[in-house]
Amino acid sequence: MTDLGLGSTIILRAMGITKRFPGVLALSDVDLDVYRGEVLALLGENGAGKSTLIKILSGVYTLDEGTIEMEGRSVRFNTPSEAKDAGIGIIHQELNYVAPVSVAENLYMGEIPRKGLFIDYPALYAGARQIMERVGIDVDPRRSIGSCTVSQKQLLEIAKVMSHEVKVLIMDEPTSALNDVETQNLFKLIKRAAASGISVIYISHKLDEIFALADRVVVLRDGCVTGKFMVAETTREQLIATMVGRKLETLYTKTPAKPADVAIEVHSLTSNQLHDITFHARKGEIFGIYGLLGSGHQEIGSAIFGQTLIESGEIVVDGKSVVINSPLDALQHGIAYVPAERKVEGLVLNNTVRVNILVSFYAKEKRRKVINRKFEQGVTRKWIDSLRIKTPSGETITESLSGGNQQKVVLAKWLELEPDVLILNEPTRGIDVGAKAEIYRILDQLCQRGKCVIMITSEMPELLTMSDRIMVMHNGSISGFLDASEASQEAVLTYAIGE
Amino acid sequence: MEATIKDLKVKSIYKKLVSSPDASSLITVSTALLGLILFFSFSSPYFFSKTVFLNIGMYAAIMGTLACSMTFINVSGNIDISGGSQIAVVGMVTAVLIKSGSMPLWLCVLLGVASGTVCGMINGFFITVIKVNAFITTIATMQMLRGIAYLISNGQTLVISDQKFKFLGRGYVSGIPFTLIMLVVFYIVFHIISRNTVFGRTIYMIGGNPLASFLSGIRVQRIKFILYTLNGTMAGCAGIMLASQSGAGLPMAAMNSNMQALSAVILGGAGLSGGRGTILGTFIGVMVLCTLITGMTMLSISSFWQDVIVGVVLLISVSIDAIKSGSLKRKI
Repeated sequence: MTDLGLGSTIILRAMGITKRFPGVLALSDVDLDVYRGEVLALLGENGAGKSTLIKILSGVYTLDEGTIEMEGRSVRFNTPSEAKDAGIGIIHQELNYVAPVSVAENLYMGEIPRKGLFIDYPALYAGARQIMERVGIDVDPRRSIGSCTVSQKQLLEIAKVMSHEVKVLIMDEPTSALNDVETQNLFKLIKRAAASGISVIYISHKLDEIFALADRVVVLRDGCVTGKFMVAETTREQLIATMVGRKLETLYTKTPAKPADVAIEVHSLTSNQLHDITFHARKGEIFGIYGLLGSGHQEIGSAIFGQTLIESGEIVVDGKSVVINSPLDALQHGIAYVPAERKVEGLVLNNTVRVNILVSFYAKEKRRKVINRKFEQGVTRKWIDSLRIKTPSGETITESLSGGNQQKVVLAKWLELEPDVLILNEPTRGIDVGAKAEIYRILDQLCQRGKCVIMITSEMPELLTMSDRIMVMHNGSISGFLDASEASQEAVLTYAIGE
Repeated sequence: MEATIKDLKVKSIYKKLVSSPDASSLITVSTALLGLILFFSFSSPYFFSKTVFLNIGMYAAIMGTLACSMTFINVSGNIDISGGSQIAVVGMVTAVLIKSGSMPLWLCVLLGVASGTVCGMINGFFITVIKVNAFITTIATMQMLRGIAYLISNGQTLVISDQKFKFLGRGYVSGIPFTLIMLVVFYIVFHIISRNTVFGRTIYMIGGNPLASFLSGIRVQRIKFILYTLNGTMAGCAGIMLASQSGAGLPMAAMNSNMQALSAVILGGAGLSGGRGTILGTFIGVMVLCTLITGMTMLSISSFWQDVIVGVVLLISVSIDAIKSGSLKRKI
């Protein structure tokens, strides 16, 4: 491995890393070397194991098998703080801030300067300014973190991590919510850090970024390393082939929609996070909704479905104006909603597959008050077979299923109601490729049977291949509509960035 | 060959029993009950007799009636600590009505139970409409309702001399205490609700994940309101039984009942995190507590020590459940 031409020492070495979750082998015998001062890209599709790997390196998960060496010494991180003390800093993909905390307090998290028993505010604010200066950001340290923009939060997070002594800086898709200028600034910052001897592990599935930034790239697929390349010596085509490992056509199944009646119309929908949203979706089509983080695209589903309060607007289903105040109202008007966070919003995890599949059926069929186990078992069997849900039986607790199969249980719950409009929010987030392909196939079949599918997604390939029409959101408003024929990654992003 | 298939079946049933947390706590609490009965039978020659068991049943009625509906509250992921105060209010209202002599006894009893229902609706209103935390709401109503119980008679005990009323708490039907019969009826009805109705299923769903339940079309707040109203109604029944047993409306009645009922519910496997627990478990939990207290009294253990021992039994029992579900292997 020394012939990589870096002429540098290995700072972090992971060998034979294996991690299992109930029902899935997330990582299988993964080796990874990180050299001092390099930018190492970790490339792979969603569900390839990138996030699991960095969570092991940063002490969030404990590994099942394998060893980690830091500067030649064997280490084992049981908690995130042990990893931090060893010099591993991580910028997570989702920046979860508690809104009422000030910028300065957040930067110092847990190590706030004190004078005796009291917080030393002058020292806190002066220190915060210094920390921020290093990454070239200037915000008032007294401001609440919740009021900062996504890119400011990102930079603050980097500043926070770099304020400790870091040897390895891990960044998990840091540009997913940044615009071009912000991305360029971030890249400069990363290159400066690398030049000063910090090793950066950069996770992304955007090839352009990897060619612009990284020295080396390691490709993961289905929990295994499928390739290691010097960026200067590889090509896009080679990376895609290594990452996908199969022809893309087999992943997506989509029959173009035929012209048909309008299934649902939304007029001037306005809520806390949405402004004047007007669109319609037709029977037999997949209507894709795209936006960057925080653009409000995620809220459309819950607003239509009666989960969140809407201030004004009208929803018309099949030509009739309907009032939807709760999910129960929505499902009675033939609307179903598969939420983004299936573990939090989609399933009662500690209950069985059977009970989860039937819950909405009983909510709709109010006259059924007594449970008939034979009937329930029949319905459950039907969906386990037709959606190919991999589960020992209908009596299995849903928590023990893999992500893809859990998602199929959520789908089964709604499909049992035969909805006319199916809204899906991030339908394939965090599920493996095989299950993904099956979900696409199910959605395509629904369309062919004349159902209307509204697919809210942040995943560009999914959006571009599956949608018949695309709506792009920016800052709570609609920024553009595109037909499948004219949609390209660039066109969608232009609208999404709001230019 | 057939034998091995049968073997496998037995094994899988056994595995299912041990792997399900509800079954696991049922086994724990049943073992505890058996152990206690054996222990007291050996330590006291008078323990193992029909009279003692009927007494245990009678003693169990007040706490058991309350624990029955409280199980649903706990399964739904909520809590009610105001049950004891509700019982006191019901006793006072019933005593005032009977003493006034202005209406037939059955109406007095009905209105007494209804006063419990109203108490439950007050809890339900604040918890589901104003959406105040359930623990905080019932801390407040616990004190408020206790105060009202005192105010009704200005702190006086109201003696009820109606002989027919005494039957509800102290009567026997062919040798079995009426309260025990009622208790068994309550538990059978609640058991059927929890196992065989959509409503019962819904309680478990709400407790397991209220947000996912709501997004599946369940009217979560409405179900919770019904549960608190039901709990108030059951406190009403318990209040009637207690007033009849003590032959009076006592404003300081049932000071301990709520915590005892809650202990029994938790012993039976319906913790506070929701989605777990069974009516059968609570029934055995009630029996464990009552056997323990009756047995200790027969061995003339002082009531101070009884409190200590009840607390220790509760701690041991929940610790066993926690350890069985792998708490020692978790970091947080």
